[in-house]
Formats: sequence, structure tokens, C-alpha cells
Amino acid sequence: MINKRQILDKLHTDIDLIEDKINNADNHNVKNAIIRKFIKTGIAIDYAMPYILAGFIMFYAGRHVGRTPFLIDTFEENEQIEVLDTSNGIHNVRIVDFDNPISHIEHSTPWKLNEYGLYERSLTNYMLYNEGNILDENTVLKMSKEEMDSMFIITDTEIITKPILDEDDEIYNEEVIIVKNYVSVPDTKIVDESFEFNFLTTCLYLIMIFFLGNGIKSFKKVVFQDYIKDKLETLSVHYRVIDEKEIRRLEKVLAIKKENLSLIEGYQKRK
Amino acid sequence: MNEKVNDKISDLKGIDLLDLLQYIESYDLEYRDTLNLEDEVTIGIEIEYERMIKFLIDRFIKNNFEDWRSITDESLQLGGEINSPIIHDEPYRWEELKKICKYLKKRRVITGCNAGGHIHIGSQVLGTNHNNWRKFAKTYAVYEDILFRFFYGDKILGRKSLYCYAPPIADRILDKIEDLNSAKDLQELRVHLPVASRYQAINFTNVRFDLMDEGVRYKNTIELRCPNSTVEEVIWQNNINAIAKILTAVTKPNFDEEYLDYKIANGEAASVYEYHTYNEVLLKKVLEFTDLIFDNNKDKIYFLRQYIKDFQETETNYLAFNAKKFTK
Repeated sequence: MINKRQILDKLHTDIDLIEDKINNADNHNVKNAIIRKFIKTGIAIDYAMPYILAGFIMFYAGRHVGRTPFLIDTFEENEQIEVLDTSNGIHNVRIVDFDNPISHIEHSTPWKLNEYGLYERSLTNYMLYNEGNILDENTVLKMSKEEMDSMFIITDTEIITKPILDEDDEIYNEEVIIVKNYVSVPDTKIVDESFEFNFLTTCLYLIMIFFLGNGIKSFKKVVFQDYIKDKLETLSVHYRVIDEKEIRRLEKVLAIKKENLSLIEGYQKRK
Repeated sequence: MNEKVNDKISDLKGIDLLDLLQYIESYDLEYRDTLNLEDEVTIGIEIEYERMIKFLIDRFIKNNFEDWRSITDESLQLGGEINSPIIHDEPYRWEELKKICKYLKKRRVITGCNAGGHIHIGSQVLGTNHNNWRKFAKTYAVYEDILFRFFYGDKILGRKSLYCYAPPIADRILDKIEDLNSAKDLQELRVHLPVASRYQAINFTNVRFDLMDEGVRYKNTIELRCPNSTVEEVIWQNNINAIAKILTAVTKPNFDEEYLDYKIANGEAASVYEYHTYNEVLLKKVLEFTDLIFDNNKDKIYFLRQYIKDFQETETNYLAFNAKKFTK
């Protein structure tokens, strides 16, 4: 409910406000220009907010699973260690870079010269672990070829020939049994993500932002009804540029308000 | 103030006018069982709404109202419209409207963005007498600025899409005023009315001018498209009452057409080129309008309360924000 005093006050205040805008247009324009910038920034942020939020969600979700967009990610992979024991007393441990090696036993004959003048040896591979095979390594290393053939499953045989022998080949100067055990050590190898994979991750990230952003935008529209943007848009009208056209409009509005007031005040003209 | 008598309020000035304004501004509009419309007045309403899944409204209407319809409207964002059957001023129809409004309120639909509250009134109210149509066109053209602000309803401005789907037509009527004055019959007059487009403040395209003599009533309506939609049944009643009373007032033999001619001749008619007048309170003009149209103080108070809205105004044309509540 509004009383008589409030009706008059409202009309007086409106008139004073418009007169001030007309008389001090320059001052208002400077102030309004600054405020308009803030309002426009606010509107832009409100427009972009669903996508910014979607970007953050997707970025942290990607980081959580180790797939950060734009950045080349590094991964920790399992490292394969080869433990090599031979019947002639060599024990060697080294890192190997092939995937999923299978532990096995090798039997090799010593090097001999063949009819072409090349060094040649015969290699037999056995499956190390098979059902019922519970022999320890030392027992295996002391076995004869015949014992091994009867006890283990042969997985491969091959003849290896070489024209010249090097230092590593010395191990095969006599008949030898080699047990190769492979051990996987978790998360010890650091590798970089490939560029192609990173590019695909980034594209997927941008597509997901688009869809998630649109979803958030729609949700915001239904639930919050563009509240901030609407308020700012409405506010911006009060801070528009007071140019000649606007002054003419204000003068017309002022005339209407003065007419209303003079009617209520019984034609006592305001000074 | 005795609501049943007809006081001439446009002569009030000074403290008397201030007393009247205080009385009006302290008056909360109520739901009415009847608007006391004439029997021949038929009404159709289209309640548009947004930000609500139409399926729920469909189900509500289908389950509760036999002859109301929930339909799609492509101009609305996530919404639709509810169409009434042809209704008369009967308590049970207003009760139906009240129930629908209550449901829409409960669902918190939005009516201030793009939603219009269109009202159809049967053309038979103006009938076959071309003088009635001319007087109505003049009344509308002179007071379009007053009517726009009134039909903002419980908002203090027109909806965002108002000037797209229901722009003012006063200037177009005034451009043809001499032709309208010289028309000898309805068929001659109709060509000078703005009948080409339905997307304007008043849509005449449904009017069956050619079949008016035969009394065709089906879809033979004058459609008022400028009102904002609302979920307040009191505002719907007030809007319907206003347009129905304007249409019936111009058919009365004592209707003062000369006064309208005087205002047109003196450049006091509405014009969209003075668009600020569509949003501001034009106190003198609105008091004249109520004296011209209404024959009792109650109608005048209801009209003025919805028009003045505590003198709230806004310069924005972005959204129709709610005025301070003035209904019970």
C-alpha cells in the first residue's frame, strides 16, 4: 500500500532524477560508461559460466584419470627384469624392453664350425613352468639334455649361425643350460603420451565441454531462469549513454511526470 | 467510494485526486464470480507459459477439464499454451480458470519473457453496424498507450517479444482515419482496418466480415494479442472485463465519438513514435478513458489499479518484471 505522501514523494523523486540526468549528462555519461563495462563483463561471464564450469569439471575429471588435455602426460609403466642363470655359473640381472616376456629354459650346444665355415649352435627352448614341474632352478641347471627333453615341453628349436663370435657369445663355448626368469616391477618406467593420443584427448575434451556446457546452460535456464543476466540487462538500461536523442526522450518523460504532479498538486506549478 | 455508482473522476484535481489515488493504490483486486458482462459476449483465452514441460500440463488439462486444450507454441521456450473453449461470464468458467492458474502458479511457470495472454472476443459484440467498428477502432487508436500499460497486467512492462508478435497499430488506424470516417458500411470499412496480419496488437484476421449478417460465431473473433500472459486469475478477469467493456461501450448510443475526434484532431492519440507513453503513467488520459468506457466505479477502480501499479515504471525493454502485488 502506498500513501499520499509516498505518491507525491515518488513523483518528486522521479522528476528530480530526470532533471539531474538532463542537466548533468556529461557527468552521468562518464560514470555510466564505467558501470556499463562492468555490466557487460558480468553478462559475458554469465554467458560463458556454464562452459567455464564444464571446462573445470572435464579438466579435473581428465586429470583424475591421468588424461590431461593440451599437456603431454607421462605414465608409469611396469618394468621387466630378466634374471639369467646358466649351468656354467653365470648369474646376470638386466632390464629388458620387450613386452610380456615369458620365463623359459634354453639348452644350447657349444659353438662348432659348419661346412660353410660359420659358427653354429643348436638352441632348444623349454617351457619353464608346466603342470607338475616343481623342480628348483639348481636342479634344472644340472640336468642333461635327455632329462630336459623328457621333463619339459619343447616350445621351439632353432639353429643359430654366426660368422664371427663376440664377447657375449663366449657363454656358448660349451654346452649350457640357461634359465631365464622375467620379473615385472610395477610403475617403475616413465613414458610420455604420444602427440596423436594427446590431440585426440584434447579434441574429446573440447567436445565434452560443448555438450556438458550446453547441458548446464539448459539446466540453469530451467532452474535459475537467467536470473543474473536478466538483472544485469535490466540494470544496463539505467546506465545508457545520455545523448541528444536520450535527452529528448527524458524531456518528454519529464513533461508527463510534471503534468501528473501538477494534476495531483492542483495545478501548483513546480519551480 | 461507492463502487456501484458512476462518478466522473476525470474532473478530480489536487487533494481530491490524491485521495482517489490513495484509495486505488490501497485497493487489492479480488477474484470475481461474475464480471457482469452482457450475455452476447463470448470469450476465448490463450494462456501461454514458459519453462515448464508441456507434457505435465497436457496431463493436468486432460484429466481435469473436458473442453480446455493444451497445445504447442513454437514461439515459446520450453512451454506451450492452454486454450479455453468459447466461454461466457459464468461462475463455473471462472472457477476453471482459477484452478488452471493455481496449477501454473504451483508449477512456477514463467510468463514474463515471451508468453502472451491472448483474449478472443466474439465479433457479434460489435455486430454488423459499421459505426460500432469505427468507434472501436478510434477508441483503441486514441488510447492504445493506456491499454498497453494496462495489459502489461501484473508486470511493469511488455514481454520481450511483444513488439515482434503484437506491435502497436494505433498509427496504422490513424493513417486511415478519414477513410474509416467516410465508409458507408461494414464491407467498405473493413478494407481500411489493419486486417492484413495476425501478428499485431489486435488481430482482425479471424473476423468473418463477409458472414457477419449470418451470425456466424465459430472462430469469428477479435483477438487482443498485446496482453502479457499471467498466472493470476484476477488479472485475466480484469483484462477480459476491460476489453469486453470497451467493445460494449462503443455500441451504446450515448458513446462520445466526438471527443475521440477532438483528441485525434489535436494530436492526442497514441503513437508508437512516442513509445515512452506506452510505459509511463498518463494520469489525465487514463482518468478520461475510464469515464468514457466504464459505467461504474468498481470497473474504474479495477482498471486504474492495474494501470497505475504504484507508479512503477522501468526503461528496460528486456523483460517484463513483476509489479508489486496488487491482487488478493
